[in-house]
Amino acid sequence: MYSSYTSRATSPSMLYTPPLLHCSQPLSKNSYNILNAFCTEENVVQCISYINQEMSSLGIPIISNGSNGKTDLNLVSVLNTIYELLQLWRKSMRTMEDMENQQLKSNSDLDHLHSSHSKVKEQLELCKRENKALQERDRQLQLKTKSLHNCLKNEKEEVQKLQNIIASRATQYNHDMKRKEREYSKLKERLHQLLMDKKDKKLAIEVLNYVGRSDGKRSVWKTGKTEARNEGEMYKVLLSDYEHRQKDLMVENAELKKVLQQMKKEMVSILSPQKHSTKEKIEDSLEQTVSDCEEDAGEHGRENISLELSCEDAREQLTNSIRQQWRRLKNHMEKLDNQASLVQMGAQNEKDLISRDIHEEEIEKLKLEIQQCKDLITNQQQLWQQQLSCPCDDETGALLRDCYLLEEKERLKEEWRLFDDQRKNFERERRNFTEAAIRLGHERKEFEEDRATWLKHQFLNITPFVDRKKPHTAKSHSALSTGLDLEKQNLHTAPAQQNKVTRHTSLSTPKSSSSSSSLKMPCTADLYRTLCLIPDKSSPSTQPKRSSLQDTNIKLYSSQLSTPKPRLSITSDDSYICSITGDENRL
Amino acid sequence: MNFSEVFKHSNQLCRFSPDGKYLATCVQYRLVVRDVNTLQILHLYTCLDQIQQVEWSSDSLFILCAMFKRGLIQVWSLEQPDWHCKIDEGSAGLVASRWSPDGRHILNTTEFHLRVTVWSLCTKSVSYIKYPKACQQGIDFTKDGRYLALAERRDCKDYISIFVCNDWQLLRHFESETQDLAGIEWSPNGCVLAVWDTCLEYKVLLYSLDGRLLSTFSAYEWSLGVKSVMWSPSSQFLAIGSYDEKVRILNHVTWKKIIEFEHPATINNPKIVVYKEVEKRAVLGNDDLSFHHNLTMGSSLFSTQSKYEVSPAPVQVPVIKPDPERANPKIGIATMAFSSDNRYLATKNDNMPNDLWTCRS
Repeated sequence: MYSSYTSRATSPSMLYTPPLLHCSQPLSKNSYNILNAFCTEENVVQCISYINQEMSSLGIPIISNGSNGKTDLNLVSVLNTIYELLQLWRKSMRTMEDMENQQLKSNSDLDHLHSSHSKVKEQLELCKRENKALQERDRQLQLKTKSLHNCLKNEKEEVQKLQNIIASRATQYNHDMKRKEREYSKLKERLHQLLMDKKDKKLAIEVLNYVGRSDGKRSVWKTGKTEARNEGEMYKVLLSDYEHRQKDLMVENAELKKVLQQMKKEMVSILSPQKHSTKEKIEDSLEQTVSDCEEDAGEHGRENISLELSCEDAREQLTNSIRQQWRRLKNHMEKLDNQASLVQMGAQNEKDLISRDIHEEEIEKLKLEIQQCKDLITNQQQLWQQQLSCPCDDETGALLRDCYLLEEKERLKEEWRLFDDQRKNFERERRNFTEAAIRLGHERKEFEEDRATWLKHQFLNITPFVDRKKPHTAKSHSALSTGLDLEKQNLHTAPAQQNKVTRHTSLSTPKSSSSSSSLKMPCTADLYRTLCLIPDKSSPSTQPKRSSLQDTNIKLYSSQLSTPKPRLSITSDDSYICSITGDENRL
Repeated sequence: MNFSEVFKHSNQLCRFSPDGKYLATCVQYRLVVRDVNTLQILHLYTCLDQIQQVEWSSDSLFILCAMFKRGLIQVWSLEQPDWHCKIDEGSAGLVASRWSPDGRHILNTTEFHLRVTVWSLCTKSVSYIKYPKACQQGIDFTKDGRYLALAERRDCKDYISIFVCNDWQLLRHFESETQDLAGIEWSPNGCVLAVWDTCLEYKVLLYSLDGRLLSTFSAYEWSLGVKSVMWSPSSQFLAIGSYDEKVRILNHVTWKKIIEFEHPATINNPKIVVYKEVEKRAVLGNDDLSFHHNLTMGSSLFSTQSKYEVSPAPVQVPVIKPDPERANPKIGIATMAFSSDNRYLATKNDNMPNDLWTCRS
């Protein structure tokens, strides 16, 4: 049954495959025609059963059919099955499309791979060919070098051979030469013998007269002493030459040593100030160098002493220390170089490190400054030297020496002039005062006399004899008044009186006038004191003052009239006054 | 430069006296002595044969005239024109003749270098020195005239004898370590004797006055060696010119080479200044820049104009290639001269015959 079903299943499909294929296209209901008939009215049931079979194999619910063979079909189930079939078909179409795409893709990939494969093959071919070519060249070159090596070897061998030949020829030649020379010397000997034997009379010297030796000495016989003398002289010559040379060498040596010492000092000084550097990177290394330098500085003292001896050890010491310093300096320079390169590379980041250019500029500026300062110092030194050295002649020298104080001298002169003027004024005033004082003294004296007479008269007038004395009092009054008038007159006719007084004073004080410039006038204070215009501290009471005044007046007057006594001889007016006061004190 | 009239002379014999006052010329067998300032003939002497060599004595009082063919020497005096002296070597023959430094002895070298006879004009005595060496420079006096060094050869070995010129006594006699001594020369200070070997062997030996060997110098071997040797006036340097066109200078302290000068055909170094003479008639001048090139182009006796131009580098120096077949090739430094202050050295390379090279220390 099964096989019949299948055959049945197949047969109608076989019969109707073309139409079935056609039927794969979506057909409308109306395109159903007799040609496409898979199902006719006769084989509906078989068709249904066939379809059911197919559906079941496909997993789609079957068309439910009546068991009575009716051709009634459930429309819904049919529609469902159709729908299911459609779904199936669409799915299969999609998968087919996908598969077609995939196939296309893989085809293109394959093409691509083919092409690349062919390209790579070509490249490989090319490379292989090149490789072969290079190998070939390499081989040829090697052959060449080998041949050249061989040539070189041959040449060397030839050279060696030639040298050997030369050497052998040289020895042969020498040998032959020696032989010939011996023969020759034999001939010479023979000839010499013949000559000597022949006693050729022509072999002579004819001189008109002897000629003196150029140095005037006689020639000497050959003796042992002369030989020794010659030897001695020869050695003297040699020794002097050696000494001369040794001196030169010593001088040179000393100079070189000095230079080395200086170099060493400078190197040490260059390396040591780095102590104050703030760069951290080199601090560690520098600490070491500084410590080394300090060690070295200690050696200076020792070396200075030992250099003088110039022995082997000192020399070695010096050279070793120089080498050490030089090595340190080199290391330092290398480190600085490294640093500089680092700085150049990371210049932006490092802010505390100055760039090389700025650094160099600074150094240039500093150098310039130093040069300027040095020039200034030398100029000043020169000027100073000129200053201290002797001037070209005395006048200019004196002038130069005085020129600094010129201003001050001028000022001084001015002030002196002023002072002199003032002094003259003072003198004049003093003179006036003295005259006035003298006059006053005169008048006072007169006044006192008048007073005394008046008092006497008064005293006497206390008695009944008054009237008789009136004219005296009047007289005294008049004397007083006249005295007063006189005073006034004196004051008014000061110059006339002054003249008299000056004359007197000049008479009495001749020395003072002659040496007025050197004499000092009595100072104003003394005058006032004597005139009681200012209180005199020295005198205890005023009473003796008055009397002293009287006395002074008297003394003055007397002195004026008489010739100057030695007691009153004046060397200075001060002493004049002083002597007077001294006298009145005694009084 | 002014020129006087032309005087005849023969054999290129024309000598100034050492004191510079007289000029001696020879015409055939006559010796003419002129005053240098006026060129007046002061004396005229007649010799027995054609004169071949004329030499003044060191004090300018005597003149020696040598006639090698006859083996005769005639000595004339300037102070006493009547004085005469004749030395006859006889069969011994004469090859060379010279004065001694004191001006009273004559050293004659006989033919075949059999011996050197020392004739004394003071005592009429004769001394013989046997076995002198026949070489380029076998006799040398020290500058102060105290010692004489003579090269000898006995039994195929070189010896050097040192004589005291005062009394002609032998001071030292020692063997020299040369193969075939070519020359000896005293240093100007008279303490060192430079001895050099034949050109087949580059070897310079330095002996002290008392015969000790101080040092040996050899720059290379097998090639042709030393051509000329020159001391500096201060005895500090010894310049050795060799056939390889180089000059080597030794210093007197270590006797080692301190510098080596080349004479290349092409001058490329910008530090070297090359002066080229462009007109006729040379005016010699040395400048203190390194090298100096002097080219004479024909000569006419009385033209006076010439000047030097600085040639720009590179300069090609004209070289004459020596004949390799012949012996004593014209190549190498044959002439050298130091300046008196030891600062400059002038050299001449034989294959650049028109060029003078100057080096500065």
